[in-house]
Amino acid sequence: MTTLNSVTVYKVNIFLQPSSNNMFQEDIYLQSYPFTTAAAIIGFVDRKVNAVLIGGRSIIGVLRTFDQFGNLVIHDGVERVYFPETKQYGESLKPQIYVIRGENLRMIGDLDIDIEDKSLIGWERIDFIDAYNRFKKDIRDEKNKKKEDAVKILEYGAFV
Amino acid sequence: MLFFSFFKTLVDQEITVELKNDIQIVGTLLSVDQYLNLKLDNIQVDTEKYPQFLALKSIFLRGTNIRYIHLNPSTVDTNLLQDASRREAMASAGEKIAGR
Repeated sequence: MTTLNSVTVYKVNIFLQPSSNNMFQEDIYLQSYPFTTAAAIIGFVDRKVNAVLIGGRSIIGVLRTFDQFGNLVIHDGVERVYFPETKQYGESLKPQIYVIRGENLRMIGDLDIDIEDKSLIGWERIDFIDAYNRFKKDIRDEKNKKKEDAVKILEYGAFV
Repeated sequence: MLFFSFFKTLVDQEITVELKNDIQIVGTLLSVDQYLNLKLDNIQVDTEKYPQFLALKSIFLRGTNIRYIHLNPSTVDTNLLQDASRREAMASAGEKIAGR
């Protein structure tokens, strides 16, 4: 009985408490399957993450599951767009579940909640619909400008 | 698989990654996988321009979005890499490797 108890306690010690060298369960998993996609992302599971997608949208929420292609399921996710020039941001009102196809993912990172709270001090929150339309317009403008530049360069006989 | 092995030798080195949307990220390489997805720790980004990186500590970058990786020349043995890439190219072409 004592032996059984000690075994149980030993397991709890491994999996719940960081040991002297700060090992968590995912670190142990990482060591047994090094250099795989799963090992890289598993540390973010059940943490608040920021997923940046192709096109510039950021989705902030709790990562629940993922697979080897980088498909993600984000719980209670909100979408946020930033305008650094005017120090404004827009955030969607209703937290939703996001299922993101991996090919659209640019990067994913885990948020330090303390810094996250402070990071938007001094920023003005604007209406999400307006912000989102402005964001899309900015992207469109940039695209058109690039196209115009390319045409100008083409007139000189070169390609971009 | 050569470059997968190559990046595995760079783990724990500081690298600069340039993404296809022109963001430059400096960080310590934590892990790399077969698609050359990278995991970086202690990242430094121009947060004035990209505020979404403010609260991030370690990030996972999808390999398909990476344009360049800037490496410290002292961490790369170019002769060895050249040799290895030629060997792999010859092996995949089905030719006999000289001297073997």
